[in-house]
Amino acid sequence: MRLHFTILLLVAPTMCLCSSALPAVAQVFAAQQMQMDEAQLISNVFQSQRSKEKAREHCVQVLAARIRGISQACSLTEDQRAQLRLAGEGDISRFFQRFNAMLRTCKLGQISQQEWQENWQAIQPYRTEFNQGLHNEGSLFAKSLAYTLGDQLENWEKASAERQRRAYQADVKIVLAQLDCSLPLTEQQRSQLCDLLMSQDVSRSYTISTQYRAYLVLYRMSQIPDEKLRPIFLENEWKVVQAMQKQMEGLKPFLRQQGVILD
Amino acid sequence: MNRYLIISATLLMSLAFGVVHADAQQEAVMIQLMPAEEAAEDLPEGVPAQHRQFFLALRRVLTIEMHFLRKTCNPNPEQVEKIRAAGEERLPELAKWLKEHEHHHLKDDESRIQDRLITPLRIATRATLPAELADRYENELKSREEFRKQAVAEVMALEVDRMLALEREQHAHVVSLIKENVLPSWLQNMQVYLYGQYSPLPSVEVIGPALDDEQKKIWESQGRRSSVYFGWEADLGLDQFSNGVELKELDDYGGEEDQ
Repeated sequence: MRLHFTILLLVAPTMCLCSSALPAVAQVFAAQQMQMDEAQLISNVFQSQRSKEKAREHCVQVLAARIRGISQACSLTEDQRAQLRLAGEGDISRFFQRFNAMLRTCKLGQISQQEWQENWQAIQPYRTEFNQGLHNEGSLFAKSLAYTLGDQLENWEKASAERQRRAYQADVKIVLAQLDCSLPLTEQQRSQLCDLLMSQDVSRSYTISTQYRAYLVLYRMSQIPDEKLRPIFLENEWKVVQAMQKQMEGLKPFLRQQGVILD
Repeated sequence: MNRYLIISATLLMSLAFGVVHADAQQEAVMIQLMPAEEAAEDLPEGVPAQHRQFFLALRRVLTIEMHFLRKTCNPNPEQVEKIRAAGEERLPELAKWLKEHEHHHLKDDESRIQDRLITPLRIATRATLPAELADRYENELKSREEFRKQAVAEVMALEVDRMLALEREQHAHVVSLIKENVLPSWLQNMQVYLYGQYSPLPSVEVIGPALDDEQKKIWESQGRRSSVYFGWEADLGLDQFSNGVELKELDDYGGEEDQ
């Protein structure tokens, strides 16, 4: 049961303890009514960008960097760059059109707690989308990439696979560093565990929601055969690892539902 | 904030945003405020009742560290007792500090809370064990910190790469620049790095030498980011896998120290 407490804390990341993520929520709990204007809603979505104009400008800059990255891997022609730019700008325009339409439905002025919650439900997906970037899987940019690159796609896929591996490696290390607080590992143990985890197939698309990245690592660790994993740990540590394996097994349906595991 | 309040707030917000699996919510409501064995654990004389939860949490950190020390140096039972006593002695003062800094978000140059407990262990280890064993412990602590720094640098570089599309060489350069400039407070809680948008990030001054002018401009344009604080228990790493059975297992050395 206490392990489930752990899970809850891991699963509930985006919410209550964010110092500036939910400033308005704190106000709502302090008072039943609050004053809300459009600028506050915009600031909640774009955070440090503060205004729609600044946020849009930032998106255009990120798009330019992305195209440059692809160009480095695939030596794009000017036409190809233009095509990708067009697709990427289309994603940005569509995002801001949808955002503006959503903004018009939000309640402004003196609003109740209930109305703030409705506003939050409406703006939260835009905040997430903006933070994750507008040119990921499913975007016009991503769809046009394969068509635009043609034969060069292989180069890009190779570069993407390398990125994916780097991302997984960083997650493995962060999870092991966190695990170290409750199950301290020696240098040798860390190195063996890292090697085992990195020797697994990490070719699947690494686009799961950020809050599930730790689960992916822990789940994969729980799937390593005992004969390989057990020799790394002392007898009393192995009992801890087994408890974790059991925990991950219990979470399997949930992880599958969230798209963290595909099998 | 005690655990009950954290759970209540977490559940309330989770329900509002629909991010928590229903079963997890149900299980979480059933969690006891404090396990029976903890409730029964005696505090040393002079430790005020309001420091209890902090004292007991720090004692768990001490138990975990003692496991690490045993594993690294294999001290005999008398040596274990001596070293543990040095840690126990520090607990009341640390519990007081933790109580006073319950909602304290570490400042950039503040080192990990655990280090305040590890310091007396290091001193006692040096005074108690042969130099070769004490060196072994020091080396493992150093390696652990290096690993943390490397992990933080790699995960931060992912965020940089996500925004700036770094070339392979640039990426390696960014990782090494971040690692050289890691702030002590960045090493406290690894959980924050699993939620990209709240992860602390290096300034352009730190990673600038690896970037071109255009990339620097983009990096600067992102402005100040939101941060996240999961609470003092999370900062101690006690809400991961050490709740309950784990701690008992790590402290189980077959009664050899009781003999």
